[in-house]
Amino acid sequence: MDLTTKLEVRLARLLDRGTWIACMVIAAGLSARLLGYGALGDRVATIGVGLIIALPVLRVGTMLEYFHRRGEKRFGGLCALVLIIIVTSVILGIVTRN
Amino acid sequence: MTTSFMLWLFVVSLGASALGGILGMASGIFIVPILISFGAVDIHTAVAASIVSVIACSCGGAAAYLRERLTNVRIAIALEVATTLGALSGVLLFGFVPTSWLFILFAAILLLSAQQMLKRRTDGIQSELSTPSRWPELDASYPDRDLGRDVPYRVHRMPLGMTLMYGAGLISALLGIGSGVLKIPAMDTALRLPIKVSSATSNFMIGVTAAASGGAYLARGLITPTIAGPVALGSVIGAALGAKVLMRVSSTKLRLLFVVVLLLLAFQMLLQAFGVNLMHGGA
Repeated sequence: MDLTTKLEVRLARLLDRGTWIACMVIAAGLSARLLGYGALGDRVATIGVGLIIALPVLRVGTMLEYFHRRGEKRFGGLCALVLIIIVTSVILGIVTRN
Repeated sequence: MTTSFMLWLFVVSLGASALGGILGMASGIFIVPILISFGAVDIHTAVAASIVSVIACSCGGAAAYLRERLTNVRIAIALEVATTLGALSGVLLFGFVPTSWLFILFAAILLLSAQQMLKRRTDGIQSELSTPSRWPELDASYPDRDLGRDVPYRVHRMPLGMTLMYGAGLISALLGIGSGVLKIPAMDTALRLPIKVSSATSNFMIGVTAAASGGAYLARGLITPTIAGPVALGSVIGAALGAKVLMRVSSTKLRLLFVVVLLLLAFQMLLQAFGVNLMHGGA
């Protein structure tokens, strides 16, 4: 298995498992809500939604670590730039919150 | 939020995503108009909920393509700079763009999707591989099962591809969709990637693009877990089911049915731009 394939396998595992874990957290939250634990259920479902949103960010982080370790500075830089743009977007969301 | 409404959201998302999956389409393009037209959900809430399901479906579907070595992760990260910048611009505009404009834009994207669905995609013309490449670090090969060997390919016109990707990110953030409708022409026509590679790489990129706007909408308090939760769950399960059926179903008739549905939704979105909702008798 070459090194790039190793990265692809790592990313596949992260995205696959991460999606189902996040979905299970959302399902647990919604189930809690249906059982009458409204506030707790909403909080758990929000955590699940947050996990889904965090998953692609973790994917870029994994790629950054891989490219950095391999000395591929240009691609590492691109990963860092994408992360900076996402963080800027989230900060913008916080600043413009009503 | 009633239990029956949450169940309705789950079933509708599952159905839209499963049918979309059969045709290799993301479900966001159906979910947003359905939530608005049939669920009387506000457009901003619908967009924010849809963006979560778009991320979930992208992440859930990406694994298979990665394992098959169809995804070009280097092209993806280069183009993601443009798509996330587009999404950031969309986040800036979201809330300022008049709602009627969003409906008109949505109608235009639905019409474009219908046109693309009727048109068969073909592999772009690859240039001679013996000539020097402008972006050698992005060139790669993919395994072709029919040929039984790896097929090399070369990347073309990155600046044009990046420009189109910026637009795709902007539209994704504004409308809560994956923007495959813009990403696919960018990758097929501008970059001239083989179809399998462009489909896999586009799907891989959708999650990061949508995360840039999804994170902002979550921070802004626009994501309602009782709406986004059932939509995301239904979409992920539906996409997994749709992908399994994809291999076994002849999709010509289904494709035509979807074109009709897309046209009807486009018509409804146009009416909505002028304050008319046929399902609820008013805006």
